[in-house]
Order: sequence, then C-alpha cells, then structure tokens
Amino acid sequence: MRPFIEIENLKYVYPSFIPPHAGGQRGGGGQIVALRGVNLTIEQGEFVALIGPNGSGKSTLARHLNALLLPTAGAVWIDGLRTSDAHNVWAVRQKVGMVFQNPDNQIVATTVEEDVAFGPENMGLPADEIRHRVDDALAAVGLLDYRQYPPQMLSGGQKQLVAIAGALAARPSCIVFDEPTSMLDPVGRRQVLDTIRRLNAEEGITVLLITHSMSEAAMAQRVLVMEAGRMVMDGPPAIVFERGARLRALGLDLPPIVDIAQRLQAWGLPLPQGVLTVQDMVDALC
Amino acid sequence: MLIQVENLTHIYNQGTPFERVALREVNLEIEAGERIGILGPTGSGKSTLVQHLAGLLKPTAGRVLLEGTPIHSKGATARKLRLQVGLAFQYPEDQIFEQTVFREVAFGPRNLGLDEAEVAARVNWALEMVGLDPVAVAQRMPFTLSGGEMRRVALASILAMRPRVLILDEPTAGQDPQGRRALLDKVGAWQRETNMTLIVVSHALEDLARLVERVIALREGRVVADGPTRQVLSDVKLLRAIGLDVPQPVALLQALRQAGKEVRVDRFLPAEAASEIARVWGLRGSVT
Amino acid sequence: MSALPIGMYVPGNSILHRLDPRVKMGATLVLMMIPFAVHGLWGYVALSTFVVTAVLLSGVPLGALLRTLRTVFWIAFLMFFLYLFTTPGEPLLALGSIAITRQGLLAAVAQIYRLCLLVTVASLLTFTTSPIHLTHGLEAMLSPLERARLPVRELAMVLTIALRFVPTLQEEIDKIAKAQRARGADFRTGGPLRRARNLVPIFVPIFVSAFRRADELATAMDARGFRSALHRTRMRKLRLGSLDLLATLIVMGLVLTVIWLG
Repeated sequence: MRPFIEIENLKYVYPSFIPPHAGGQRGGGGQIVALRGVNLTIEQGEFVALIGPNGSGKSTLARHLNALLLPTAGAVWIDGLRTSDAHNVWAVRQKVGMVFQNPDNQIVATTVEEDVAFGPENMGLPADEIRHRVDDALAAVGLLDYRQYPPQMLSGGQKQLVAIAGALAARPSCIVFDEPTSMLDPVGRRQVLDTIRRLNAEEGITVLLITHSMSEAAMAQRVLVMEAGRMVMDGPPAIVFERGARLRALGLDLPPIVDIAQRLQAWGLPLPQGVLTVQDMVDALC
Repeated sequence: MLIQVENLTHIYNQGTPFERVALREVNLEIEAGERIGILGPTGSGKSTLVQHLAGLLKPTAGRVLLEGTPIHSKGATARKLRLQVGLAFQYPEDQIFEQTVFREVAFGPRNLGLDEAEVAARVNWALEMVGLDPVAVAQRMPFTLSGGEMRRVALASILAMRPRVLILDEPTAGQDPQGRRALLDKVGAWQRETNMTLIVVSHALEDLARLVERVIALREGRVVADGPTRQVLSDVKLLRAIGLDVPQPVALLQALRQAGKEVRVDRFLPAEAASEIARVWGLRGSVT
Repeated sequence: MSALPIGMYVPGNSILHRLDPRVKMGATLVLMMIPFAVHGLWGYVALSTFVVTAVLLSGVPLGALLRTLRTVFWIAFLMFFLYLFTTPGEPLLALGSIAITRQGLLAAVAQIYRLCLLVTVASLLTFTTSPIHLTHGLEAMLSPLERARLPVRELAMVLTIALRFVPTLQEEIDKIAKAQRARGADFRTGGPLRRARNLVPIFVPIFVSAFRRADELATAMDARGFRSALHRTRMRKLRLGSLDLLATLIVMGLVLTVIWLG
C-alpha cells in the first residue's frame, strides 16, 4: 500500500508578494524560495512533530498537504491523490484537515455548533448527516455542553478545540496542526495536546504537529527538523534530540529532561539512550 | 515605596448579565528597581492588574498609588505619572502604525514633549537597546521587517520613553526558542542598565526564572502567593492549583526526592537541576 | 471590553427565545407599525399589556432594557418639547407667545410612547435571537429575492462573519487604544481635526490587523472546503412549530383588537 502522504522533491517559490505567514523570511519583496526540494513520506496513523526556526518553511510545507498551496516543482500525493490535479482538491481537503495558530481567526460562525457544521455544509451533506457529524465531533473534543456558546465566551484553548472539532466533522484521515498551542495558556495547551494525542491513539488520525516547544515535539513518535526550506533531520525523538549541538546551532532547544540527561552524561554519569521523560530519568537514576 | 496597590477591586460590565469580577481587594507594594513576575491562569486578573498599574483602568474600588499619588486621578500631574509606566501588551507589534521605524519609536518621546534632538537621541538609544542597528532600520517601513524585528521595534518604542516601571505582558509569546532567549537576555540587560522596575507577566516559568527575583501569583482575582522566585516556582502544589505546568526539572527533582534521594527541588533551569543531581550523585567537573 | 454593546443577545431558553426567527421578525415589524393605528386609551392599554407581557416572558434583565432605552433619552427629550410647543389646539398654559396645548401634551406623550415601544420591541428581538438565528431568519425571509439574482446566501454569510468578528474587533480596538494611551497618545483634547488625526495610531493597526485576520480566515475557510455559498447545504432548517403558530395568532389577535378599539 502507498503511504498516506508522499512528498517528492517539493519546491515552492512565493510569488513576489509578502507571504503573511512566512515569519522570519519577510522582507525585500522579491521572490522568496520557501521550500528547496523536500522529500517525505508519512504513513497512516503516525504522530509526527515538525520543528525548525521561524522562516524555515514549516508552514509552507503544511499548506501543501491540503492543497492550499500547490508545488512550484515536485509533487505531493495524499492517499494516492496528486494535489496539483484540480479535480482532487476537494477530496484532498476532506482527507487532510488543518488547525491554525490563531484560534480567533478560524472560527466563521457565531455559535460553536454552527462553526463545526461549516465543513460538512461545504460538502453539501444532508441536514441530518451534518447534525450527526457535528455531535460526534463535539463529543470527541468534549465540547458538547458548549454547542450553543458564542465563540467570544470560550477560552483560547476551547476555541482551539472548536477548530479541531471543525476539522474532525469532515471525517479526515489526517490533521495538520500549525503551532496550535503557541497562543494558549498552559491550561489551554494541555487541553489541546491531550485531545491531539487521544485522536491519534484512539481514532487513528494521522497527526502532523508543527511546534516551537521541544517538550511537545518529544510527545511524537517521529520528529522532523527543517532549516531554510530543507528537511535536515528525521527520526524518533530520542535519536533527533541526541544531536543537541546541531539543534542549538539551528536556534532550537532540547526538551529539559534531555538537556539534563546530556549534561549528566557529559559529566560521566552512565545513562541509557533515549531518556525523554521524568519517568525515564527516574528509572535510570534510581 | 514606588507603587502601592490598596484594596483594588475591578468589576467588568457591572450591573449587566455579563458582570465579571476581575480583581478582589488586591493589596501590593512594589519597591523601585524590583524585578517582579506575575503568574496566573487566564481570567485570574493578571492583565487587569497590570492595566491598573499603568493607570489605564478606573478602579471599581480601591486605588493604585505611584509615589504616593493616585495614578488614575485626573489632571496633568497624574498624566505625567502614568507616562512613567511603560506597558507592552501581548503581541506589542500589533500597535505599530507609523511609516518609518524612526517615527514609530519617536511617537512616545514626542508625546512627552521632548525637543527633536532629545527625541532622536532616545530613538537611537532604544533601537540599540533592543539589538537593532539604528542606521540600518530607522528609515525602513516597520511592516517590511520580520515578526521578531517588529516586536523589538514595538518594545523600543516603549523603552524610548525611559519609563521608571516597565511592564511586559508575555514578551516572548509566539517566538522560536532562539528568539526567546535573545529577547530575555536583552530585557535583563535593559533592567541592569537603567535600574528600572520590571514587571513581567508570563506563563513561561523558565522565562520568569531567568528574569525576576519576586513572583506574585493570582487566582480568581486574588493574590495567592507573593515571594522569592525560587520559592514560588518550586511550590508544586501552588502551581498545580493555579493550572500551571510544573517545570520539568522541578518535577524530576521532586520524583527523585520521593524515591529517597536528598536533592533540593527548587532548581528549575536544566543546568541548575543537572548540577544538583551531579552534586548528590558525586560527579566530578559539575561545579558551575 | 469596558462597555456592553447595546442590544447584545442574552442567552436563554424563554418562549421568546424559542420562537422561529421569522415569526419574531414579522411580529417586530407589525409591532413597530401598530402604534400608528392606535388612537384611544384602550388601544394603548392593550398594546402595552402585550409588550410588557412579552418583556416579562423573555426573562431579559430589566436593567439591560433600561440601559438600551437610555440611549434614546436625548432624542425623546427633544421630541417631547418639539411636540409640546408646536402642536396647535386648546391652550393649557401660555408662556408669552408659546402655548402648551392639551393636544400638544397628548401628542408629546404619544410620541415618547411610540419611541420607547419601538426601541423595546427591537431590542427584545436582538436580546432573544442569537445572531445565527437572526441571519438565518433574514436569509429565509429574503430568499424570494434570489430569483431576482440577489446573492442572498452570500450576503447572509458575510453578515454572519461580520457579526462573528464584532466582539473580536471591539476587544482589539480597546487593547490598541490602551497601548497607545500608555505611549502618551491623547484622544480627548484638541479640535475635531486634531482629534481625528489623533485616531490614526488606533485605526492603522486595526486596519492592518483586520486585513491579516481576513487573510487567515479566508485560508481557514479554504482549508475547510469552502467553494461558494451555492454548493452548501445547511445543518439547521427553520421549521415552524405549534408555538410559532400560536404566537402568530396572538399577534394577529392583538392587531385586530387594537384596530377595533381604535
């Protein structure tokens, strides 16, 4: 079987306007090369984190996965469908949902349930089916009691859960999260991360999580690192985070526990490989 | 005493179905030159409190004194007083409006009524303080800068007013790890150079650990903790109660302690925690 | 957010909340026109009884209603004296060349009554009808115009999104205004021209942010498979129930009573 996501030598050049989300690459006004030949495959059901400094191309890559952007060169296949074929667009957008950074700027309706219904309404489904999907999606993120709420009465974390429910209502196989927690407080962050983890483990949803938080990246089964439009690392968190010096050179951090472990190892304390969590560390030390 | 908060209560939308009590009889004293962190979950009253410190809200009850004068009262004296408090809201780059970086940073100093030579000197100084080269950026349009640079321009526009009190609300929100560290280092340097009073609102305990000496925790509009950073940030019970994540190094040390190891738990930076473990495990070369 | 927007939806589950928006909008229109058919005391009594009952049934806090009424205080004040002094008729009190007439007094009271009724009825609609129902009702009532090529569904969508962003923009304006005040901006002094210029530090950031929001929202809508309003189906279908029928009959009864009472 083909992998769920296949990206082959993907290149993307922004036309000569300023891309609103290209972070550190803004400026000048000329053409901006955002992706310089990315190859990547992701299997159905994987939980993948994508890290990299601002302007490294993470968001641009994410926007290729549901045909919001189409390759300048190379190709992207979602479940065997090539995104650059015009007649695949709607199927691709149904298969891959997206959740963005700013919870306020992705809610279109004035109540929670109407917003979650937006995707299925776009698919032209009958009213009963939409109702059914909206209820399922709200139940999956634990917001059934808030269905009638106006968005401005929700916390940031709850708004992000609405956005996740909105993506879920289209019954996607994969959801791409573009820095979903960076504008949230710790409570909201936990709500969102717990939900993402649960959707992956229980519903088998393929997850691509873009984040600046190394602790969040450490939750994934696989970590991708981008720099200047290229994929520079790809592996399980234990392996990727072993290369602390390289990550620091990229302007990234280590998860605190990994950081502590590496310092202790440097001072001669024998620790097993792949220490990521407090529990791993306690087991190794005691 | 620089700032005194006396029985401060704030109620939004009083007398409507949307009434919400944001602060309940808060009392605080802040000395000149202190570095203070403010912690608390969303809705705890943090932003309301800092807006009061800057004289931007009218208390429902109680008052805020800056050097003994109520900061919210009417008239020129109080206005002058308010301008000694600089407040950078979350995502301060959102407030940028001028056509050039120079004019943006000059907005505050001009409002102070300074002459143009002094304004120019302050703009240059402030841009240098935030790590931007005045010659390179002064005449650029702010909107052509990167997100991180825009944030620094916005902060410079506040620094250029030379406030005696600088309040930063989530200064590193949305920045990548390198941008975060660079910004924190800068803030520390400004504080040392100007000896201003620094108040930082943040969920990022690590940021606070690096910057401040005293932490005030709020919950449901009340002060629930006020003490030295080390003490408040390693109070696992308190942090959990106000919905914050226990810093992982503290969680680790706590777990080791429970497993019977004699480690101190108030070490929240990875380097500090590593040294502490190394000390107890008797590793060589670990003295930092 | 420092002040509550006038006429904001108050969530609830009263009979009025549960009525079909089309019925409520129709009834509101009727009630706004009906005072012009009322001439005698008993007509006013019938109408007032009806409106007071509706207010009580809605469960809307009276304070919120009074706050709304307060916004038209000055208009009411002016209207009162205009009618009081300019209506010719049987003089009650003469102050030099100006005379207060019996007719003038009655007309002035009647005008105030009509104005208050208008405001009460209109805010009762917005207090008890969520924006989503309001736009939905509007869309349904305007749908015959689709045959005349009016893009009713697109308009309804635009209206929904606009309503969705009102509170967000309000918060943002509040934040930017405070941020600029903290930098010494002054919005209160100076002549009109100067004051207008002083608002630049608020309006520029608001516009910039509105464009960014619009851009991000459009991307999010694309990502969720939005094509055009014509491809879409709706989850909620408006259906008239027995309660709606009853309400319609009651309003019709009121109209007939008022006309009969004259």
